[in-house]
Amino acid sequence: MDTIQSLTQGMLVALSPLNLLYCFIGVLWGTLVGILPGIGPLGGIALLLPMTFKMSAASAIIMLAGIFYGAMYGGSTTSILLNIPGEAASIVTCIDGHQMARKGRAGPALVVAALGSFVAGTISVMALMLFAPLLAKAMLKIGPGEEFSLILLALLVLSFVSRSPVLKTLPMILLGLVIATIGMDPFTGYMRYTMGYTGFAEGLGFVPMAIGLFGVSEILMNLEHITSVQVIKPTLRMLIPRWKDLRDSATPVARGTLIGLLFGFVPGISHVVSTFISYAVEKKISGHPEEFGTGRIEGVAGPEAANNATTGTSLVPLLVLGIPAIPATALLMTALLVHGVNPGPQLIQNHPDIFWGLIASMYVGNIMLVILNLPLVGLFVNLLRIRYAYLAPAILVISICGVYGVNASPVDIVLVAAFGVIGYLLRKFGFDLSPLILAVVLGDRMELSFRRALAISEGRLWIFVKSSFSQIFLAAVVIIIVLQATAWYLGFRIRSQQEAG
Amino acid sequence: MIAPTQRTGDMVIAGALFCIGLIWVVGTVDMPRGEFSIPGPGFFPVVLGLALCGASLALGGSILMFRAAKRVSIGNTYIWSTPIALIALAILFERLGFVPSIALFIGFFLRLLSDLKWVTCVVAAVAAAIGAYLFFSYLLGVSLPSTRWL
Repeated sequence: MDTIQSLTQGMLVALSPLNLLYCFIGVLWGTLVGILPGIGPLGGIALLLPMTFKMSAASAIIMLAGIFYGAMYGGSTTSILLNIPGEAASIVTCIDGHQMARKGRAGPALVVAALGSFVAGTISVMALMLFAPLLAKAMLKIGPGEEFSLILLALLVLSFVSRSPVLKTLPMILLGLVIATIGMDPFTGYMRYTMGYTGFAEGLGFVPMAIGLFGVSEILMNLEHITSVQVIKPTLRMLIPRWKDLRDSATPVARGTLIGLLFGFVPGISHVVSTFISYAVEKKISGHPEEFGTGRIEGVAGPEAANNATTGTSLVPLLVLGIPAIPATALLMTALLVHGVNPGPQLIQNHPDIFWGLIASMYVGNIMLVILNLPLVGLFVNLLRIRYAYLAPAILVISICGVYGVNASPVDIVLVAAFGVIGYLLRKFGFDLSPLILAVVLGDRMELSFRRALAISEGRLWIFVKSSFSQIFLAAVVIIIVLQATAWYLGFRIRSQQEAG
Repeated sequence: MIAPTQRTGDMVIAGALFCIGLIWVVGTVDMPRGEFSIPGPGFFPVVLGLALCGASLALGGSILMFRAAKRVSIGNTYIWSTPIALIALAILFERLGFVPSIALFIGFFLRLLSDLKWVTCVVAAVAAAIGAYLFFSYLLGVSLPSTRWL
């Protein structure tokens, strides 16, 4: 009953004319950045972040979250029509989606992707609505010792699920934590590694770092091969799916949703991993696995549902624990902090308008996205006809405006350039960037909770293991370390044997 | 374009990470370390610096155990021009104002990446810069460096 009352209150927030407009701008911009390679949800959020400074916190988070889940919808369009994933989570959709388009069945693929995304997105919001308050109640009891163990666990999980090997992920996490120590010491006010520049007192800016590492590095990757693309443009008539398509997609959507919901909680690359797992599951249980890759609708429906199902649950760690699960939600956290709102167990209690307003807006936003993505697909796809020679400077200018808007400092533009090159080089040599950026976000809190815990216990380390929460977190940490060490050792042995052979 | 082997690239990155770790450790020399019960501002950075040195040594060691693998091609004129153009823009941004500096930036890229004529590049760059200024400054309320006219 409480949930329904709270959701009604949230609907009042989300359905106010201004918030409806912001939600629409968010999902529209999200769809566009999902379609355009080189921006993605992270860049898309960063670009509109300065615009939210004058808004209320609820309006800001409604718009920025709209970009986040809107980008998940947009990414599938380019995967199906062009074989170009707009963002990482849509890579799998290329496999069968584009084959369907080449056989003249782009319409059903787009419709199934949009409807699957809608169903999964809506169920994901329900999961967020049901789980977040329960988890928040439990998490109110955690102190600094438990918080430190929890962050340690999050970082280790990150290293475990990362796309790069553990020996490449671990230095990325540590580099992120090292970068997080730049700026004023939160306890004593001592300036660390600022080189006397007061602009670094708050640390290296997260926005220029994120835009550089993800946005600019993506542009640099695309500049390696500038090619024009052949656009398949579906007509409205082509969009009507057959009854068989819908029937064949129903169970893959259900399975994909379940996989996405579970993986949404995992820090790191949940939305990418869930799509690959969903595709693998569909292929495994299909009566015709050999036809996967030739245009099976299940290969589109499952991964697209999985991708969108992660959006709601990936917000749970952010809103309830204050721990962002993926880089895009780290930027949502920055937006909340700018508005003086601390994400964590007390968010639901202290700012119900923000939490329930966001949930209600996600229901509304998902409906907007279905309406936007089907009839207007031809219009969006036209954007991809723009040559990259024009698109690249446009994306860079938008990025610069977004970055400069946060602190009004040209030093941030230099940071964008520097992190762009760093991101490009790291990506070229197979280093995953997500652990780096998430460690930067979590570094401050990790240090703060560690020092607070030691101060409370007067230097006794038992504070990190005394509560049952801590024991669970630390047991998980030990299990992950053992699993990782075993996996590394086995991988090492196999590689040594291959080299010897 | 340069094309080092994967192993060379990994080694260079491991070396750079080791240097960063070392700089972090050395940087704590003047910082109060505090006691274990009340760690000072130098405590966490020294631990992290040492851990980063250790992790990069482990990475370097693991790379050395295997033969050099595939070659990775890095960069071309377009790629290296982008960060240089961004740094130039950072220098000119507040000195010239948004419209002239962004017009130069866009014009440079159009000339570099497209086959448009000089005149077309200049006209398109100025129009795009004015459009971007009006959109971001007036519509989105982003604070951007202005000139006498815009």
